[in-house]
Amino acid sequence: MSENDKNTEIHTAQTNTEEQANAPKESTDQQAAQQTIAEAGAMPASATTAQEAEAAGRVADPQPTAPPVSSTQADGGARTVEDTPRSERDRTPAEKADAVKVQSDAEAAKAAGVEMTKVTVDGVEVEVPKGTLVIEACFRAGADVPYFCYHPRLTSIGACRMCLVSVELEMFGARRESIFTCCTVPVAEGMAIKTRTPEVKKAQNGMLEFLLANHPLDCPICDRGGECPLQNMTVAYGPPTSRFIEEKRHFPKAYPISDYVVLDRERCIQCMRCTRFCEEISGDGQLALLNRGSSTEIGTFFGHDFTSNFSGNTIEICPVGALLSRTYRFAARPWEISSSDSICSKCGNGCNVALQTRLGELVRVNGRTNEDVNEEWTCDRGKFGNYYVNDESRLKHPLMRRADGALHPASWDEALAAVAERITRTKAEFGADAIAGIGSTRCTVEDNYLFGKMLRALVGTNNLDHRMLPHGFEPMQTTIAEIEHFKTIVSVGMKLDWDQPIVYLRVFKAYSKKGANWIKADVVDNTVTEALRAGGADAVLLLPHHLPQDQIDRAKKLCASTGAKLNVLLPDCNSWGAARAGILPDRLPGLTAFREGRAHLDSFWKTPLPTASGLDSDGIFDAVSAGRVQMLYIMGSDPATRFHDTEKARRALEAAPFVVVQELFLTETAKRADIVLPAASFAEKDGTFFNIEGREQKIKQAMPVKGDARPDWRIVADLMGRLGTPVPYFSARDIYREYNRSIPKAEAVAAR
Amino acid sequence: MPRFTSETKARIDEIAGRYPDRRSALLPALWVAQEVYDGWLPEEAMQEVADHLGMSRAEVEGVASYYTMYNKEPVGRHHIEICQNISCMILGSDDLIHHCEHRLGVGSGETTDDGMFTLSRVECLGACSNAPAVQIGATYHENVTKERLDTIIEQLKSAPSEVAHPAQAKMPEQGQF
Amino acid sequence: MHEQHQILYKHRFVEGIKGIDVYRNHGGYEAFRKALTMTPEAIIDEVKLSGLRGRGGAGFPTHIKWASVPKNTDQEHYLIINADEGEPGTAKDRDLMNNLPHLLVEGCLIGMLAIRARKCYIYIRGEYAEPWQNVQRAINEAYRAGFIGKNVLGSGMDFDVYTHLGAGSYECGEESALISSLMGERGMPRLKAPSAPLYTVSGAWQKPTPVNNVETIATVVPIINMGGAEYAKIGYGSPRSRGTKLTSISGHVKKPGVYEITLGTPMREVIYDIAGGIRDGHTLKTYIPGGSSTGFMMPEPLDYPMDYEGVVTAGAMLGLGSGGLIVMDETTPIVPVTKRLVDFYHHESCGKCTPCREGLNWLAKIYDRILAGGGRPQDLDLIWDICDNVRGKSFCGLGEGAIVPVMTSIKYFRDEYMSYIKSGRDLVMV
Ligand SMILES: Cc1cc2nc3c(=O)[nH]c(=O)nc-3n(C[C@H](O)[C@H](O)[C@H](O)COP(=O)(O)O)c2cc1C
Ligand code: SF4
Ligand code: SF4
Ligand code: FES
Ligand code: FES
Repeated sequence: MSENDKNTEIHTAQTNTEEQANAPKESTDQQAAQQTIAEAGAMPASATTAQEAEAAGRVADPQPTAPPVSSTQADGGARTVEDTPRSERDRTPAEKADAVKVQSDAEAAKAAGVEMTKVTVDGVEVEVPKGTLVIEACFRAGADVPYFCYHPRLTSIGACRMCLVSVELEMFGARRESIFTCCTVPVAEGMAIKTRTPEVKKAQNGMLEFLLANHPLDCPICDRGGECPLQNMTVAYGPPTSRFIEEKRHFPKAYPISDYVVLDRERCIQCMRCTRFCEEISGDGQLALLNRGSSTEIGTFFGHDFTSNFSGNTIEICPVGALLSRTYRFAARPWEISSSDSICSKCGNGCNVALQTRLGELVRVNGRTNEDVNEEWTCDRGKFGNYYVNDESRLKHPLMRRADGALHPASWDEALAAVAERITRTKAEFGADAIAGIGSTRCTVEDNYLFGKMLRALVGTNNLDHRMLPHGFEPMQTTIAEIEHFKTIVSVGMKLDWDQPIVYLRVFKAYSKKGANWIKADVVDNTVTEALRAGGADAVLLLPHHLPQDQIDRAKKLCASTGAKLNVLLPDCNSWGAARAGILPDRLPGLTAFREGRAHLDSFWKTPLPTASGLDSDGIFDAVSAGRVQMLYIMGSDPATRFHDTEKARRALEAAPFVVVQELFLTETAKRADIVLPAASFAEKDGTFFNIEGREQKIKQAMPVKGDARPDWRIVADLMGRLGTPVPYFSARDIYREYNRSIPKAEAVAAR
Repeated sequence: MPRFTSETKARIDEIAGRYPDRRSALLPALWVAQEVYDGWLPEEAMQEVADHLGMSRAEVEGVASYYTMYNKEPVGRHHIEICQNISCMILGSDDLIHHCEHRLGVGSGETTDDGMFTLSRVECLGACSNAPAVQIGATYHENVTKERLDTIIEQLKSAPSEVAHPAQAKMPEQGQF
Repeated sequence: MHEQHQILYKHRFVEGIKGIDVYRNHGGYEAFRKALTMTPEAIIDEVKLSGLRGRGGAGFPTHIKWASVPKNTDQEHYLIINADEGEPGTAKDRDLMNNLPHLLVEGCLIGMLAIRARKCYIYIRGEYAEPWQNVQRAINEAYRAGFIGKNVLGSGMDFDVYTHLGAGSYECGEESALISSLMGERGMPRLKAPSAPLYTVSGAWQKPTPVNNVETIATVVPIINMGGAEYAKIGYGSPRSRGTKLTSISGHVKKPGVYEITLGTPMREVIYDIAGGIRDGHTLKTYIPGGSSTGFMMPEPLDYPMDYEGVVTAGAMLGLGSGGLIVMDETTPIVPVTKRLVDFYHHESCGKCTPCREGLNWLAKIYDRILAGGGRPQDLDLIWDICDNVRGKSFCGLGEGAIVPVMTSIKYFRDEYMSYIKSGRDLVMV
């Protein structure tokens, strides 16, 4: 039976791992055993005889009488050591992200005081933290090593054998050199790593020829083409010809495994990145390797849907076009795309994403690295849920309710004039408090700030809210990233992977990689109490913002007594931002109380603000029904479907004499409006979101605005001009600067 | 329709108790499932195993599909597995296989219409020094000739089936610990 | 003819030796009693003196494996026995388990003492229903007799021995794949040193779990009985190859069977005396010394000692292997036989690493084509280069082993390939 047990068995109780690390591949067990026995002084008699030495020599080259030609590949012009240095190769975005991650890990380790090890890579000396993988040392040294299965966020498995390099090290009193997969071997002091020896070149040519043997010739119609690691590696390292003339392996092509993901098994190179992702990162284990050997394929359980909320990430880490996005399928070639760094609009976690557009349409949303937030992942809502910005049913013109009672297109001028006129009239007839505003958890800080300023300073009311159900504001006591360090994690009343996907990934990391206890409960009950007591200061409690106030109060007390950290998690992409912008009946920008912020704002906004607290959203809708509020101004919010009491909201919308709505779509709320103003989506404007942690993150315009729509802040600014106070804003940046200055100094610091 | 009874589950739980972690009992649990599901592992069987062991069902399928002895399709009452590997091959196992195919009227990997026999070619059975070797259920037949195979096939027609779990079928006493 | 010591098989043919009573009447479990009085270090020292090397294929010194198990007892240690025998041509562990199951159980008990383990898992391949029954029955008997269980023989120690049935995968004999399989995973190999700690330090369930072959562990019983020094005296060849080796001899010999052969016995004697020589009217064409992965060898030289070193001296690409001697006479068509082996490895490849998965798939297709008459002259170089691209690059021993019969067949039997390529006919089969 077998060899290559050699890797394992070349060791003794005496030899250390470094030595094993460099056991020459060519050596056999016999040799190793001889060596170890000799060293251990185990054998009763006799040194190595000449005959045995000769035998060992033969083993080292088991092919003394090799047939003449040894590589027909060479005839085809296979890559050799003479070829251009590979570091000049252009890398795919994914590869660049990997290198960045490796870099930041190394810096973190260094900062944490990890012992450093010196190695040379192709003659370049580098110092890397102990335990660094050889492949990472190569990256640090600027050398390029081709790889497929290695991924800096997944455990190394050494499956694809693409990353073979030659490693030279002192062992058994001699310097020996042998070939290793550098994604699995940690560095050792004094290692000389060579990425460009003839053996390495031969191995690289060989491995790529193997991988391409059964790979279909699909590149022209493959979505991955142009940003495909397999293509790139082949160009840089592969043989230009293939000697494979047999029939390729066949599987059904383009097989949908969910609404979002399509699988092409013929293209799969069995690198197990996707299955490792499902096992190690998202923890749902929904993709698995099936069958074995050359029939190995990946798949879901008997073809059932891939229902994970993180399935889209597997598309991004797949090094070939085997897992593809159904929404991006045939939508663009990578080089036609323009990509803008932005923030996802689907939840409060605030994934950093790249919005990729072609001809003014959003075609793809990819994850972007931010170690503090989403690492490099996104959830499926983010990856596949942002296409609403392309929707044909988006509002493209202002709409006004005319004499026939129906909404008809209108010009901006007409619509805005009507709104301004109505505001002035209502205020004159019924007083400022007859007007109320509902802001948005999905508009930017800038939009909301200006909206608040208009209602407070120009209209003169505090009837201002954005909440769809009453709740307080508890800033998170830890960051998202810190959650992974807790030993006890208690989550209450949430389906964490769907409600707070990125928080979930951190929790799962703590649970699976760091052995944390994860307790799930429906309400703050005794189980929670006990878990927190047991966890002490090493525990964190995660609550959704919609829990009844008494539960939140109980949790607060509990955490205060046990030392646990409390994180109350908000739902939307800018829930924090709306609050921070001051869209609350009793808070000013920066969440400052009237008492603290009034004086500053009075002078900053150059007008005295109303003194009494306004109505919250419940109060506003009650007041509409009671006839006290005559005009509703709603920006980017849909209370008719999202309010905790939709009946109440709808009744109020119908009862209100005048309703203005700024929206993307003709929502249930917009349908009940008198004037509807079409707004730009998050992909069509610049601005700022505060995620659940209160982290300030910038969104950037990625595509032209649909139709005649305008960014919300621009609509509000226009209106303010018409109300008599022109605002000189040209960009979201101007507003953000003003927003920052609107917060009293001390608070401003806290607000960041 | 789930087929695991409380007794089946207890059996799996007992086995799981032998290992430091529960999922290590997956292979034995699949054997038990194959027994309960008449000699093969349909989707429901794997689902039940996954549920009972508390693991991802895709992984269960991944494991079940890796090993050749977990049948992914129903097999006949008697599963005739003829070794085709080197020692048996050079002593005529190919002839044996062709003979058998001819006699049963099926190709390798197929089941006779009456559901009586499934014929398979398998790799080395570890009976090389008594080649050619044939495994039927839990029983090995060694030094097999065409004539002996004919007799065996005749006898099998009235013999009890061993497909459910080749190993379990003949176990005289279960471990009582 | 050299004397063939019967160490393991001393009582192999005794009526009823499968049962614990007869086994005990023949000195059974005495070695275990003796070992109970020894320290773990003393047991390992005896094994060291004996020069025992792994009988599962790799030939690694058993005492070194055991000595590298951490001595701490604050965590569980487990002994794992490799009874997955799947290497084509090898049938010796099955014979041992069927006929001397208590020898295996006793060996396990001593092994557990040596590495401070209290639990032992015997991983038996799924096809081995009968050996499994025999071993399980022996375990049950040993529990009843108080050799396994709580407070064994008043030692204050509890021992458990479990059997674990595989389900059809040759690769699960590879020790790290075996560990995966034991843990309920696909039988794919795991990282080894230098990438990961040794299994003797952190193996299955991240605990120290050395893996030993059935024969290796059984051999520990006579070693403890007779003393390591005494055992080390057995052997005719290299000082590093001591004791006996169970060898299953198959193929075109008059007396195929499983024999206990003293290491160092000349190969000629093994084939012509022990196995009775080639069947009448035929001559030796080639043989495979230790299971298909050791590759073809030529009739000359044949007078070398059959032991770990001797086989290598005689030109084997890999060593002694697992003890499966396959003898082939001149009627054997090498190309189809090699194709059969390629198909075998292709079928058993776990699919984890590229060279083995793709290389064997490719080779299988080329062999299909050659046998179907579509061979091209350049195919031999191509096969050779494919093998070269697998060699030293596959993840585990399966890929490394798979190419050995292919390379040796091309090296020694080029003309048979050329016949296929030129005329689509086999030189041998008429
Ligand atoms: C593909 C492959 C299959 C193997 N199969 C077996 C086997 O069936 N039985 C065995 O004992 N060793 C087998 N081995 C060798 C084991 O990996 C390991 O070396 C052995 O179990 C160690 O035990 P030992 O030191 O007692 O020989 C195999 C190795 C390889 C690479
Ligand atoms: S689908 Fe992609 S990521 Fe998954 S194993 Fe195949 S190549 Fe790798
Ligand atoms: S060599 Fe590679 S594919 Fe082959 S069995 Fe080993 S790990 Fe699996
Ligand atoms: S990248 Fe190293 S083996 Fe795949
Ligand atoms: S080759 Fe048939 S049993 Fe081993």
